[in-house]
Amino acid sequence: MGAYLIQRLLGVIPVILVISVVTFLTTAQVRGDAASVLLGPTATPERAAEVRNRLGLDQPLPVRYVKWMGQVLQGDLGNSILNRQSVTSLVGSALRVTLEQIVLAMLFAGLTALLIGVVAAVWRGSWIDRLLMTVALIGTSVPTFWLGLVLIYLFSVRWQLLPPSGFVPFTVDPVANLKAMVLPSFALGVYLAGPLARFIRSSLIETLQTQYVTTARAKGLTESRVMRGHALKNALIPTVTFAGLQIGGLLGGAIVTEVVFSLPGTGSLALNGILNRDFPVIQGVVLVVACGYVLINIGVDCVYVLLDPRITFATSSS
Amino acid sequence: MKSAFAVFRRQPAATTVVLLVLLCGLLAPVLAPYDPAVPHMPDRLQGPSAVYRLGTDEFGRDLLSRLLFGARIAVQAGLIAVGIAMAGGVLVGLLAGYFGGRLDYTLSRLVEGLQAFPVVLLAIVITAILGPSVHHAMLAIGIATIPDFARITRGVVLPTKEQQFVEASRVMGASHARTLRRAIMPSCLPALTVLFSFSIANAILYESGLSFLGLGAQPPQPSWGTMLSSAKSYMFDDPWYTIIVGVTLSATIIALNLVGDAVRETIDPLLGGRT
Repeated sequence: MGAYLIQRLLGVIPVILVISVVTFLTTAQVRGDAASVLLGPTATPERAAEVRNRLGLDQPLPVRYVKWMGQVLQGDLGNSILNRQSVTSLVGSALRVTLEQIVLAMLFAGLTALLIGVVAAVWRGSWIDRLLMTVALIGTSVPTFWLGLVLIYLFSVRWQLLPPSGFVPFTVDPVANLKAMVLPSFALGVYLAGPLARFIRSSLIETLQTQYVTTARAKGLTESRVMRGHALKNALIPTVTFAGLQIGGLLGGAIVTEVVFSLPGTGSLALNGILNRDFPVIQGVVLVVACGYVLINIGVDCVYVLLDPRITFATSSS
Repeated sequence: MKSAFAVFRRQPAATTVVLLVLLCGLLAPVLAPYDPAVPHMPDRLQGPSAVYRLGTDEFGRDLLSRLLFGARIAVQAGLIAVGIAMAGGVLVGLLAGYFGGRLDYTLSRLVEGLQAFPVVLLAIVITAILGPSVHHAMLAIGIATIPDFARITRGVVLPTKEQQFVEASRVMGASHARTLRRAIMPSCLPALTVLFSFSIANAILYESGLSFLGLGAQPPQPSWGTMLSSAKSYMFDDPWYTIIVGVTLSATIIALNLVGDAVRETIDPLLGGRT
């Protein structure tokens, strides 16, 4: 396992390099005029040159990239142009909100999808199966932001059960925190639950046709023991990978729900960064989220290897 | 053509909805009873009536007309974004799969790097550079979807290039370009068709999402996403506005996904027969 992990981590270095170069180049292009943003339209050319010099913007791109990477590797993502706050701490606290949302959404989606997927697979071809798969398809198709609006309208305005917005950190007040997170996580989870349920269903149907399931049935095991002890476990192994691949979509979806429910997560941070042309903040969010996604994928692969003894470390890394 | 009928027979309702949206998008200027951008303040936020079939928005603009022009933007977004993704992805996938070796390694790493950017994140990057516009949103969606097409294409090319008819094509003196086009490309088409139909649904979903966030179409452009974004402020007094736009958007996406399913079911036996 250790060797496999090291191999995977080494393999990810070129990917991270690509991400960092893309992030740097895109924002570096625009940061050229950071001087004029700071000084406003009345700046004299001399004054602008001075500011560029102070920000190091007059140096060649490769030099600036190396300098920037050096800082990033030390955990310094620079300071917000707007309010001088450290981008590292801004992104850090925003990330906590986004991650909480994603974890809750995955929990909800996982449980719902498991239930729907198993029921649909057991009664495959029946009207229950068709009904559940239609529900799953609708769940994936309804735009998250619209679902969010409908949820706010029903639960916050009509029935006044939950707050429409207002985030409280979990450490301050767990109950208020969860109350604020229920609706956004549900909206986000619905988006994942649909494809996940479809995947679990087809994976389970495939497993139910394997010979070891036939053997288990021939031994006289009850259908529910066959399901629990043999089929489900094996059907869930590819599901882990599939769920992991959806995390990227969830990160994007979380940005949307954060805006709908006014949560102070990475999405809100990045969008405000765009509104204020606060490039260090945009750069920080983009870099951290993209790298985080790559690392999560490695984690998913490792879980996969641990779950399935048939995959040896050597073959799975090729 | 035969398979188009097969898709229709599997999902008659959904296919009709998709065709209807396409038609509305194409014919929006002809079908729309009012100019979608001209405000008419005295009639703001009205419910459906004989004058305004689906009511009006916060500037008194006819919702039906705006929805029709919104369909135009949605259709454009779907086709342009997926067009970009397909052009880029198929090229990368063909080259990586066919030539293999170092080129494959480099291209695969680039695709993986690109894949680390969820659509919204990529749209944030592109908007940061180019500024917000519906075309930049389409570009972002297209680029972010390239990895899907690249991976599927490469996945089909790898086993196909070992086949004897590919070898035969090379032995007969065909160039690499001709071999790729005539011998390998046809094998990729079924898988690409399935991906294409699902990608359109996603592209429209993303376009509306980005426009909702302010990263896509800008007011007064009548994208369904921007319409929902402004409907949001009137949701408590006038839920009708939010509902009609949201239902139109959701129904379109549901129909597209159902058609995608039907396309897959129609094509999959062919796929199975090939490999």
